[in-house]
Amino acid sequence: MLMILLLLLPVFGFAEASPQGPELDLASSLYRQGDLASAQTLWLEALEELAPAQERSRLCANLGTAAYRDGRTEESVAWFSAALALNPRNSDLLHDLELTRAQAGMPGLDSGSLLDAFGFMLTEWTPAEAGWIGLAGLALLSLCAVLEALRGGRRLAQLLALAILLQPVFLGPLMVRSWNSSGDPYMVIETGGILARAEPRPDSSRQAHLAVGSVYDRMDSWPGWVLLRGAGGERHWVPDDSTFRLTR
Amino acid sequence: MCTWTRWVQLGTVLLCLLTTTQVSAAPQVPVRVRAQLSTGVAKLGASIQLVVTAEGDRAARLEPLAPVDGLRISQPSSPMRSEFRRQVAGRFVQRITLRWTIQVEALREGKFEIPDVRVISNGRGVLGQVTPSSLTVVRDIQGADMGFLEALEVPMKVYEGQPFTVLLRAGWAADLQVASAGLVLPWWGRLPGTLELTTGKENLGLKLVTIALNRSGRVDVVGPVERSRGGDLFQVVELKRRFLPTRPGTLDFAQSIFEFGELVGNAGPFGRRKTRDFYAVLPRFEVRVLRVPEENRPFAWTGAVGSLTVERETDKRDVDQGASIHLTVRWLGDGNLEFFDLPDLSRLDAFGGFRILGVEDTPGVLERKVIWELVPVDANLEEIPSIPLWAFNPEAEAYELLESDPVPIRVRAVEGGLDPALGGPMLDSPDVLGIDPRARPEADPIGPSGSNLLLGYLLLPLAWFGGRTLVRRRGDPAGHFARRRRAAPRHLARALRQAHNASDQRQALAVFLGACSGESVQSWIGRAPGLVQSAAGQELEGLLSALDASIHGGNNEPLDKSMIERVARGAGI
Repeated sequence: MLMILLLLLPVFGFAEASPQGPELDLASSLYRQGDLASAQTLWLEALEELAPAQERSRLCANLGTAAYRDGRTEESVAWFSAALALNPRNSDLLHDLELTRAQAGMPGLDSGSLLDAFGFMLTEWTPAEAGWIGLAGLALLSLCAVLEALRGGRRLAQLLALAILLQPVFLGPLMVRSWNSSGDPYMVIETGGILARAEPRPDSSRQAHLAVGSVYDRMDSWPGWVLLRGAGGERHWVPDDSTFRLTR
Repeated sequence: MCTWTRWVQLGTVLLCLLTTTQVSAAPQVPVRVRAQLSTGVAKLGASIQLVVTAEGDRAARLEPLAPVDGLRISQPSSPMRSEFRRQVAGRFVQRITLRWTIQVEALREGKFEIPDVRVISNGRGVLGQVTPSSLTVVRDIQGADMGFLEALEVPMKVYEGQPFTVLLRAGWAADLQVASAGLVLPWWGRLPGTLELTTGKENLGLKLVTIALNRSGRVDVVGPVERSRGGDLFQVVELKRRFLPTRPGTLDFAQSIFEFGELVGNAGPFGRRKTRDFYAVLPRFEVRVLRVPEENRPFAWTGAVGSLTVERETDKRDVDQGASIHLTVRWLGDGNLEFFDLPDLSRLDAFGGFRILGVEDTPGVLERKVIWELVPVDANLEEIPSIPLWAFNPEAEAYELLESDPVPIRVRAVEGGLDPALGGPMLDSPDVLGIDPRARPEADPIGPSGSNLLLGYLLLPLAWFGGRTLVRRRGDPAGHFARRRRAAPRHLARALRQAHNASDQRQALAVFLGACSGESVQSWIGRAPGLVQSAAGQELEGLLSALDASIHGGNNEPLDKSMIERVARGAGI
């Protein structure tokens, strides 16, 4: 009984749906009429509201398309990246992202390596799916534990050990998602990259060159500037309008 | 004594040596070689044989004869071998004979000395004189009068790629009763640098007769038909061959012979007719093959040689833009129709408004048929342009341009443009897929939260450890007793299925109760009642009593198996 309760325990968590305003239809109409600026304004406003992940992904993708049409290819890459993070297995988004990355001169997402394939396997799940996969791992482990507790024996002990060893596979998507959501990722969208400064001043010393399309976690901000953290812990002050916040 | 023995030994050794010497000397007997010419005087064209025999060595080998100007002497082939054994004065004598037959063919009149033949036997050459040693070849005057062989339509010179015909006409006097006829054509199939052109239908509908060819094969000739020649009547046959020279040089048509035999006697008992042979000779002739001149050669010339004409037709003339038209072009005439390359329409500016989907080429001796599949991609096209082909005309000795007539067509424009694959406007580079105007108001799917999962992972070891400890208070679940107890119901069901009488059922029940209680099987046989106080226990004791009654009552009838299983499982033992 206790085991069953344990299995049901993680289910108690719900995400709330948000109401959808009629502005979206208007935004699409404006876009189709060629009024990109107004359409983008409406979509950005809608994005500020609390909306389901699928809807936010759609808004980001539409904003990416508008940015692309407007000639801001690097920004469209960032918008499509943000959209894909919310809807990871959407092939249309993946197509648009690959296309815009190629046009912006950035490398493709999939180089065909085994490492890339493993990375896709871990990141192509939504938070809910990642949770269910983790729960499946916990259920398997619980089942093996129950069997081992009731029946004992060497084979069931080995089975339990195998279930323990398999847990990283089940928990991988959830762990990766938790790891990614722990920071506040920003993408460099300045054509040709930007020069990072030591301090948030234009005349400060130039410390590094950040390539376009590279992603860093935000540490701090100052009016017109953001402080990004490199993979090795380096600190880079860059102009705010040269970066794009990927979490939407 | 000792000296006498030594002399015997010495004599034996000498005898052995003598025997050995005789044995090794035996093959030294020279082989006998004879060479016989079938005749010393022969008509030009007649078949002459040289027969060479070698006696005494089965491994003898005949060397090729030295060449003689004016004679064609064939290479010696494998000999015929004959062996005879006979008894002479009580001894067996073996006679081995090898026999070679060599064909000798006279190429002209004259007297020819035949060289000695040389046979190799045991590593030594043995010469044999040919008898008769000379061969006189004379013209068959009668044959030339009573028959003829001539070549017609043979050009003196041709250009490479220019087909030419050799028409051989042979005949014999119409009043002769001819029993056999044949052609000896040394050049047959041996003209280097030529291809023989044949359609297989040249003699269709003509009267044919089969005659000998080169004394070993047969060939169909047209005829015989009676024709007048020089005031005399002849039975005439014709053989036509068409050749395509592929490289410059000289084609040598060696002296050819028409041989025919007049029936001079009745057939013998074995059907062999007696004939008198005549030979009509066609002297050697040549055809010069010239190189196609490079002077004034057009760049677009694709190897066509001959006097050609061109025809064209289409399957339709009123088409939609993007639809296909089959344009059939035929080149006809006396030329190398099978061997020139087709003009490349895709390189012709005139065909810029067409897309060429494919071409079907059917080369032939009589015509070259080509079908192009053209797709008009320009709606303003009004005709299929003429197809040019440069050909070298050997008669005019100049390059000529053959052009098919243009074909007027009408092309209807297609709405929506033409498929890019058919030459329509080029597509732009790939684009983003566009906006998604449909809102997604569906709530996010519910999933287990990470914190709750973490809690589950934390509690699971505690629950597992607690449960494990609790279970093991009653003993090791993997121990022998526990496993036996878990398997007892399954074993009981199986034993009851196999039981034939009450004794078997009693034994199966005892095994089950022993496994469940941890006691021995014997302790549950003949057990005193009252040990189990519960109602289920009472029912079990009743069952045991019923089984005992059935066993000891005399009939040993089995009880209901399901009832036994139910009572046993419910006894709570």
